[in-house]
Amino acid sequence: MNTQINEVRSDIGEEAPAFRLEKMSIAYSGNVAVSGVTLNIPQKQLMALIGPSGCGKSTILRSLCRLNDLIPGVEVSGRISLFHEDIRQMDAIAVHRRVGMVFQRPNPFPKSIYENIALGLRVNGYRGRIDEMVERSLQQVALWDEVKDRLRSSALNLSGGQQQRLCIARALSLQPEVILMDEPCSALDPIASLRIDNLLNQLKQYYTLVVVTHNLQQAARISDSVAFFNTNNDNGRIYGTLAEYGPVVQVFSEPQKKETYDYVNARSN
Amino acid sequence: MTTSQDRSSRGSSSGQSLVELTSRFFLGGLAFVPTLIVLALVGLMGYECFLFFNEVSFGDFLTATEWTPQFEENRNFGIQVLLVSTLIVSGIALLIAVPIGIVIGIYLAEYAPSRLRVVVKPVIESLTGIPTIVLGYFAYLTISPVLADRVLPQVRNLIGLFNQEFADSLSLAPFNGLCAGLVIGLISVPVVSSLVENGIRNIPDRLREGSAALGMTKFETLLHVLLPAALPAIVGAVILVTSRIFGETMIAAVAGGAETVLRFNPLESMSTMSAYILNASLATPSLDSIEFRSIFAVGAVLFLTTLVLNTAGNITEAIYRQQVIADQVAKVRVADNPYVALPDIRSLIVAGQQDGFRQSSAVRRSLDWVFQGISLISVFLVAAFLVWMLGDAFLKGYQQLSWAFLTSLPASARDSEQLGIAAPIVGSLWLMAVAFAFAVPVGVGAGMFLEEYLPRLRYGWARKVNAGIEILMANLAAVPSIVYGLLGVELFVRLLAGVTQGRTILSGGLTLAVVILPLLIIATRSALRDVPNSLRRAGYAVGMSSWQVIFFVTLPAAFPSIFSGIILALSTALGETSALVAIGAKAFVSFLPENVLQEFMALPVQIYFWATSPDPVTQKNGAATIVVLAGILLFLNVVALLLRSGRSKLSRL
Repeated sequence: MNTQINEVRSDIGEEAPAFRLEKMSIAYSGNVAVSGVTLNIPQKQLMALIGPSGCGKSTILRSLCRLNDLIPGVEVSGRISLFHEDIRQMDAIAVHRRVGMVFQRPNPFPKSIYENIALGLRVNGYRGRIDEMVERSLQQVALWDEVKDRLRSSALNLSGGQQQRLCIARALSLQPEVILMDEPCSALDPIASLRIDNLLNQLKQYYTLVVVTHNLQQAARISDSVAFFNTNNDNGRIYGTLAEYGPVVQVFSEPQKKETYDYVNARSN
Repeated sequence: MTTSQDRSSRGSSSGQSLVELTSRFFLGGLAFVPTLIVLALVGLMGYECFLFFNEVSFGDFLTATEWTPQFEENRNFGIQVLLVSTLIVSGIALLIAVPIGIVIGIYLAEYAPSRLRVVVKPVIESLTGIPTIVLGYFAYLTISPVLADRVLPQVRNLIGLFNQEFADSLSLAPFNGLCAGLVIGLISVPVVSSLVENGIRNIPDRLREGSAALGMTKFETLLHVLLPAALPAIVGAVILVTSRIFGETMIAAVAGGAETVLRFNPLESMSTMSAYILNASLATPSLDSIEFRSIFAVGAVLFLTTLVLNTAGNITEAIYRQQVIADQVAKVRVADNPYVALPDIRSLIVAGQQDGFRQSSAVRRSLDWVFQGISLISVFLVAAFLVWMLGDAFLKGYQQLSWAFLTSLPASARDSEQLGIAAPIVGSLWLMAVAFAFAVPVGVGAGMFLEEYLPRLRYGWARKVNAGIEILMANLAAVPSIVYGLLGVELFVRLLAGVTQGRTILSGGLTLAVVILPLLIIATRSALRDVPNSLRRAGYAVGMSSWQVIFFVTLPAAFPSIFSGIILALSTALGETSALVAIGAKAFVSFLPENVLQEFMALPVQIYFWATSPDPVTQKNGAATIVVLAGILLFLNVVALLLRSGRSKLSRL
């Protein structure tokens, strides 16, 4: 399968993948959630992780920025490297900074719009001018013009779509290399969601994006490559594995496996 | 769709709807009892205050600097005297309770590993289950001498390095405000810690994830995100604990002393407002004397102060809870315009430039460890206090324990070698029987009405009524029990003397019923609230009417937790001292009471009289009585805990 990816990526040069996952398995207090995932996530592209509920795609995503550290009882085995560095050998704070995360439901802090972005910069000891970075981050998500006159008002007064873009801006402000998104549009109406899609299409030229989504049309609209995870039933124990991954056109129109074909064409066994 | 009209019309037989109507009115009547209590409290207290201020001018009450009700001539009633003592003792208590409580609350909510938490939380919270008479006794007999003999000389030496004269002037009276404040502060820690813990837990995890994803450490998340969000909850906790501390009676009375002199030095004896009420009640002044009325004037000040504080605290907490809910939905729903052209952002991108940040992760993370260290020290302090206190009482008292001690009557009040506690044990049993005969039906019935019938009206004026009742209940539960003691004196001992025969078991039991009623109502309501709505719907789905669902479905499902609430109320009533002292429990009764119209003794009151005795053997008897009482209460609390853990099965439905 690696060869397939390499063929597609030949047009963007021989750059190393942003993430390299080798034989990754994740278990919650002994119960395997996802097993044996080997996957390369290419740089400056958008990869969508798709699959049925319970296949472990969100679990994988959270472990890419070590957010699973917060949950007691999670065991991660295998190797995850970010540009050849094992992220579990790295300082967790540095990982959080280099790998941003945007969540399913917008989660702005109950503070002002300005403070939502400035806080992360200040806490991390940003050396530059904070005002400038706040503006720059808001411009990147096309929110600046909408909020520049009310930066001091509460972020909770924004609409859901604006809140989600604020959260993306918040992640961008720390100048990450990768941004992970866990179903970023599932709590939004179709129009706000479309606007985020457009934004992602633009951002992926500059950042590596990994997006979990249940919405196959969205995956088709925004992604360069797709990884399909499937659930397996081993005597009643349900766990996820990586079924197939490759360029978006290939996964959607010429899948290598029947299970992928069935899923993207919405057929059940 | 099944509406409530459908339901009542479907219960076609008129007999059934009659039962429905009867149960609704009957339970509604029970739910009115708390309001009656408030009216009685306000009315009777107002009446006695009116009589008091007929004789004493309000100006003198506020401005006089002496409190000398016992003098025949030159009687003075300057509330300042009691107010200053109360403020000093409360100030010391707050200095202990607020910082330790907040630190432990944060630790339990954010840091404590779950295995440690299940141990630490019950240990800390068991402090609230210890009768305050036991703690007062411990403060006076153990802590005060330790402070005077061990700590004070060290402090003198230290201060002597700078100012010898000041150091020599320091001395600690056996009764002093410092000890009272310290112990009141320590037992108030759980009040603060559990409110703060709940406040922080209520903040959704999404915010924690958001800040972790920005590279914040746990402590940074706490400082910048969680604490600002939980600030109203913390302010509410501080206000509520202040009110609790103001009303604390037995510790202040036993350890703080009874001298009503205007003083600012906490090393000396000082009488708080509640301690004055207790001590003045002990002298059982005649019911029409100015001393008696002065008790009510002080009681009114205490009642109003705690009422204002409680209302403020509860409103703050309620606003906070609403805020947390409101924050989870976006307030403005402006549709995004997807066709806005995206700006060219090429020039703005600064991906992956990590040298723009100072690398100081180790320093930043060390604050987490510092905070955990401080928390563990705080937890250790509270736990050590608990162990010290229980160990001290046991070591002092266990030699006196014998079958004869438990079963014999005191031969005479003087012969301390032959004292037994049969009379107070039987007295307490009688009191419990009377209190529960009245409080359990009323409390459970009122709780059922308030939770099952009233909340159907969740909109308009009814919603406001509901919120008001919620705050009224929380307020009633927080009225200092000495104030209920005053209500008991005026209502049961005096006005209803024809029924109760004065200072009898009946009066005492009814007063205890008033004390525990709000606890029972709150416990019933929260038990019913934990019953999943799907169970109720299942009842309606098989054609039950409202009262049938309540009696055959909801109540049985909620029974274990209601029962655990009843047991906790029982342990509160068993440990209640100040209200019974106010009613006039006896220090010595030489017979076992046989009906409710006789004089009585009670276990905690017995401890009060014995522990303050100068005779060492009597003191040992007091310690033995503490062991007995603490043993019973420990047993009751464990039973309640087991019942409550049974409840978790229900929530899995």
